[in-house]
Amino acid sequence: MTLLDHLPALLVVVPLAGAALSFVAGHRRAPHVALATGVAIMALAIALTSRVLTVGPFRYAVGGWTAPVGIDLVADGASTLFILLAATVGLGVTLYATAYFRTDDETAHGHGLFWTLWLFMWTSLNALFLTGDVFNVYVCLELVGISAVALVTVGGTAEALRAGARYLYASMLGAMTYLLGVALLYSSTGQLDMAILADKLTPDVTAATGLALMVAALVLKTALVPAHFWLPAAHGSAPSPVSAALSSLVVKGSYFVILRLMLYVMPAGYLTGADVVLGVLGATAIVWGSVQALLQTRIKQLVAYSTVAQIGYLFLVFPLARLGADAFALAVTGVLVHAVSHGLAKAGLFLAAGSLMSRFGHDRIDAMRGAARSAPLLTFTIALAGVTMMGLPPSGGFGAKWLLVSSALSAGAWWWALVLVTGGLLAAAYMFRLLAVLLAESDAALKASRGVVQTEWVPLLLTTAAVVLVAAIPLITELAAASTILIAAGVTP
Amino acid sequence: MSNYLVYVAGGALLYALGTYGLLARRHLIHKVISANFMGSGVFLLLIGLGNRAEGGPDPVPQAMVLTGIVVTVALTALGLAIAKRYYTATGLTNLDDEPSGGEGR
Repeated sequence: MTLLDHLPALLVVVPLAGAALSFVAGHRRAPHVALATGVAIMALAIALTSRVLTVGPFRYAVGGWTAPVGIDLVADGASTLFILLAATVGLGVTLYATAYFRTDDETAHGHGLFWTLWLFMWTSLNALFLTGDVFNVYVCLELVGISAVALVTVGGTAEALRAGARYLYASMLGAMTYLLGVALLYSSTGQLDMAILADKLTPDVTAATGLALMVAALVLKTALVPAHFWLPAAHGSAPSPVSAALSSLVVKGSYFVILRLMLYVMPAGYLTGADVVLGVLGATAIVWGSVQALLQTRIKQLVAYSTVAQIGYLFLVFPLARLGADAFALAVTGVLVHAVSHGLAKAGLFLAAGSLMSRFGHDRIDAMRGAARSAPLLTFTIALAGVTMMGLPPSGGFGAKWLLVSSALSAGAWWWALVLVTGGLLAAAYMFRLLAVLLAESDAALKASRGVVQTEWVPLLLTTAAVVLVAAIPLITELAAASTILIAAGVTP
Repeated sequence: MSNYLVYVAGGALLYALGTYGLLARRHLIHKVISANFMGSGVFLLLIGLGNRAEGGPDPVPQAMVLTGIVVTVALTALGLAIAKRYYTATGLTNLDDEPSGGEGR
């Protein structure tokens, strides 16, 4: 066995070691530890991508114990893509945070904990994307949830504590319900490994109830309307680097598990109604989240509600995937492109919003008139993020919508295509409202800018990556073809 | 009524009670305790279902329960820590009254 065979384990061990090291390193050296860890994770993620592209999906038996006794890690195209997304956004967030947490020393104690918690969260996200076992998913989800809640409250303000507490209760409700689902599924099948379940699952009431409970719990953790109530406060009141990681990556973690459960573990025709229910909720999320985003007066709340809307697109894959083999492959590829392009654009947007707030010293949109003059880079970043979220060509968001619309139209389901187009228009509405204020004429003098200015190029790079992602769609299509979801369905994009 | 069904029914009841408490109770510590109720319900159910099989209990649910207890302890500790910090910051024990101060960033 070469070191390359251990890549899945290394992707968990390296950030875990970084987290432990950053804790003992002290608050001065912790940022350097985090940066080194981030670069190492990026190298491992690239190595994993090339390996999955050459040898296809592979399983890794932790400690040499294979399933069903041990817990296998599964590296397939989809998990690799999410790990790459986490590595890219994670590196950006880490770079940005080095400046963000240096400028503010009033609550230095909490800020020192940021690095460790953030690397723990990254560890558990990587583990979540790689795990092939429904019980291990529960453990990883809780590790993500615990570190995410702690990160929300790192600032220590009353508002952050309130948001963190609400997030924690939603997280607990989701955790216990998911575990109840696992208990029922196990009692019906005696299995926990997803591949074995995909092979052996036979329709019966206990297993169906278990899977329904698991999906419902994951829907709560992904913040799909109407279970989105905890998200705007949690994502909006966290420190900006944390908001970026939560909105871009954490909701994708639980979503990724839904994707695997619905399209890989469950046999076709199982819980048929659930596909349509999730699709309708997704469509509702697009409209409701966009309208709420349009009504917000504070910049980070606007960005947070935009996440509520963009999560909706992720759930359109389920009804689309049932429209036939062509539609299935197009929908899965499209939704993967959307997950990545939204992840990059939303991280950039949250970081840019954070820089604007640092420059202004407040977060009210109306009082940010004329920001374009003193912060042209940030305004440009926000405009670029808008391009991909509206789905304008050429951008990753456009590629995603193109694939999803093609999927709907290939089976004549024009109403789903209509939802996608409407979503783009609504995104244009709330993004233009923000840009109009930033680009307005104003003589208002800005406060002297602080250290955050040094890292204003980080959000620009992330949003640029979201736009040029359109060129990487062939690569994503190749990764999608190497994912267990499409291989099991026997369709190639 | 078979032996394991007592555990399953008891577990389901505890889970339901805990869910109600988590959603309906306003005091922060009541919410954390309710979540523990939910957890205990699921654990009881898992143990009950593990004893259903012929030829002795199944060890896998027991391993799951042990792991679940560890996770629940961590969640509980975090919940209590947040409740304490929140009480220190605002003097409130529930989330429904608006606290004063604290601009978000």
